[in-house]
Parts: sequence; structure tokens; C-alpha cells
Amino acid sequence: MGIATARAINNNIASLTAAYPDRFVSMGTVPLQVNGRRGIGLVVKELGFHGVEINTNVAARICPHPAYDLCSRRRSLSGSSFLIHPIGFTDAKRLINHYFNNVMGNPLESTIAVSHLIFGGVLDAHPGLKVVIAHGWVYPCPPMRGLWLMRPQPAQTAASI
Amino acid sequence: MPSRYPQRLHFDTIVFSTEQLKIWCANMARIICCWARTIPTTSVIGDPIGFIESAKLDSVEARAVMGENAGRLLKIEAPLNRPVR
Repeated sequence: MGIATARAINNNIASLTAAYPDRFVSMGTVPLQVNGRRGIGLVVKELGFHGVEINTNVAARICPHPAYDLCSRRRSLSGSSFLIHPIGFTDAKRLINHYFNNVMGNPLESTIAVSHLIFGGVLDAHPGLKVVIAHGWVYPCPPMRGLWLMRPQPAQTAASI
Repeated sequence: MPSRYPQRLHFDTIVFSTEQLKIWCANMARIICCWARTIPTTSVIGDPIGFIESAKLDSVEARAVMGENAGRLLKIEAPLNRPVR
């Protein structure tokens, strides 16, 4: 199901780009929950896409995902961009009113993904990785960055990365 | 330190005032801001280019926000519709 869905989406994106090459460049989707490594290779290399869009988590497992390794290490894929976009906060029961799921839930979900990329060592392991974070305004806030150093556990990790 | 990593990432977000845009650019590396507009959109900024110009960023920052960052990300040439001061 995941592969078939991704293929249908990507084929439509490729068709749109082919029809309007002066208006669009393509980023594809990949079924990370099924076969992320093969899927990313298909999207970026064979369809000529400029990057891939992925979610902030994969089947409720949080990024980082081994797909990052592939994009960093294979020359044909290096330089490709990841757009990480949330599809809502995973525990949104308290955010269903007032559009809170978008206003607060998505930025929180993106912040969790960014934090795992940093504290999980992904950015250190892959210095050429290009990542775009959608709904990403929380993590760069100065108080957020400073707070990492105020708590022993993240401060200890921060000192090592 | 975690505080240096935002300069390696690109953040897609919305700002609603020129003050917010200036704060964002001042706290991030120049290259990380990129600008886009979703159509159809519920975000009401009638003249996005004029909005960026009104923030009075320096020309390097303004060009980056208006398309050069996105061009670098996607490995395309990002044409600017009008010259930046």
C-alpha cells in the first residue's frame, strides 16, 4: 500500500512538473515505513526529483531514519534536500479545539523532530545533509536553545556534540 | 552545542510582521530563511515582496529570503521579479 501510494503521488508530481517545467520543481514522497532506502533512491535518482518530503515521525517512530544515511553516502543522492513536515501532533486530544493542533501541535511536532536530529547526532554524522523544517519556528527561539544547557541530561549530551 | 545547529537548518515558517521577520533573520544565519507563498492561502499578506522590502533587511538577506535560499536548496536558479535595494 505504501509503495503503491507513493508511486501514484510521485507520478502525478512528475507529470505536473513535466507539463509546467518553468513553474515547478519536484520533491517526492517516500514510503519510509515500508522501504525507505529503496524508495528514496527511486524518487531522487530515477524521477529526477530535487528532494523528498517526509513526516516528523515514521509510523509513530521518531526520525532520525536510516534513509538519511543513504542520501548522505551515495554520490548520486548527495545534495538532495529533505523537507520535514508534520501531519499534526501525535497526541492531539487536547488540541482539537481552536485550531490548536496547527497553531501549537505542528510546531511542537517539528521541534521534537529537530531535537532528535541534533541530539541523535544525525547532523554531525552527515554534514552535507540539507534539511528544511516546516512549522519550524519553535526550536530556533533563543529561550529554547538556552534551556538545553540548564538541565543536566541534555546539557551532558550537548557537550558531546 | 545545540544552539549552533539552527544555522545549519532551514526553517519554513510564517511571520506576520516586519519586526518578526527582522528578529528571525537576526537570530539565524543569513542563508536559512526562505520565502514561499501557498496558493490558495489563508495568510493575508497582499504584497509579500513589499512586506519583505519593508523590513529593510540588507540586500544579501533580502535576496536570500526572496528566493536565493530556495534556489540553493533545490539546485535551481531563483529569478527575482524585481531588483532588491
